[in-house]
Amino acid sequence: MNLSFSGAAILQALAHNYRYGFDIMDVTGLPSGTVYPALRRLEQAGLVVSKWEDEATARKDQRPARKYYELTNGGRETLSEAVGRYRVLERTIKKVSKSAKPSRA
Amino acid sequence: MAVRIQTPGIYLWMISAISLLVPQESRLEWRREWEAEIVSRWLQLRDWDRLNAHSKLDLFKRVLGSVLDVLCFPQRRTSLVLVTLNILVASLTGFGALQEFIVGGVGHGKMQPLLISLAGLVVSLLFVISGIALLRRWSQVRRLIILTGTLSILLHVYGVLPPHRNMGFIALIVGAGYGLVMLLVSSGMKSETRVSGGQL
Repeated sequence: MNLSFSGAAILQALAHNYRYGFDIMDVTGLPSGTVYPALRRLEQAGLVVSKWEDEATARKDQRPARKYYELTNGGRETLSEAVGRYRVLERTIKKVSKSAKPSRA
Repeated sequence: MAVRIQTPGIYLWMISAISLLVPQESRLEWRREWEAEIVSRWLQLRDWDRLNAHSKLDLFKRVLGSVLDVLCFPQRRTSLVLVTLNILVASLTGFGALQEFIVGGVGHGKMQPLLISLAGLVVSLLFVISGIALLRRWSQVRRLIILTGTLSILLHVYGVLPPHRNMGFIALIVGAGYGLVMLLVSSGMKSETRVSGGQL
């Protein structure tokens, strides 16, 4: 499955236990106009599931219950594929930049 | 003097206004998620004593981003085109009606321009409401579209007739033409309902 950079970043954030929309924005640096639509797309693709936080937990913290997101098994697999692809890309770029001289404007 | 925002009320109000653009079936959950995130962040910032102009601006930007989020909801392309056209025709009709109201009605104190301009303002408002109804998929959207389309045709046809001739032919083409388009759209909606009903 083709995953965009923002999609991969969001899955990575979820894998590191950043589970709420605003937390994902904080850790990825992506704006809300990118994060929320991406989360919806990832959920529709079955890579992510969303659940409402337990009301009792939220009440204990004196705040409303938030919606949190979790990776599915499919999401984990897609993320590891994407990470693998980015590593290959990183290695390729490093190789190319070592052999090629930087151009001057 | 700088305005000090001490509660997240303004952000919640913005979310409540923006939520009107979310399709009806997802609106409640969308709004609940955004409100919970805003209130939680606000309380967190307050507890950490980091509720300052910078953090409030950041929150404001996030709330503004929710407009983009709403626009990414799967909408029918035809609905979005119709909503845009509705707003455009509403603006044109409303502007013309307001001009007639001020100049002919209030300025010259004549009854006929006053009445037709008021009718124009009502039609303009109906265009806006039916645009919102299309976007929000109201159950009564078809009736509203038929009413708006019919009134627009009647208003614009009457407007070009002698002896008053309140409108020009371009207004007739735009107003009555778009009214006709709305009636065609409503008949399309009827056949769509029949098809989906048949599948059940």
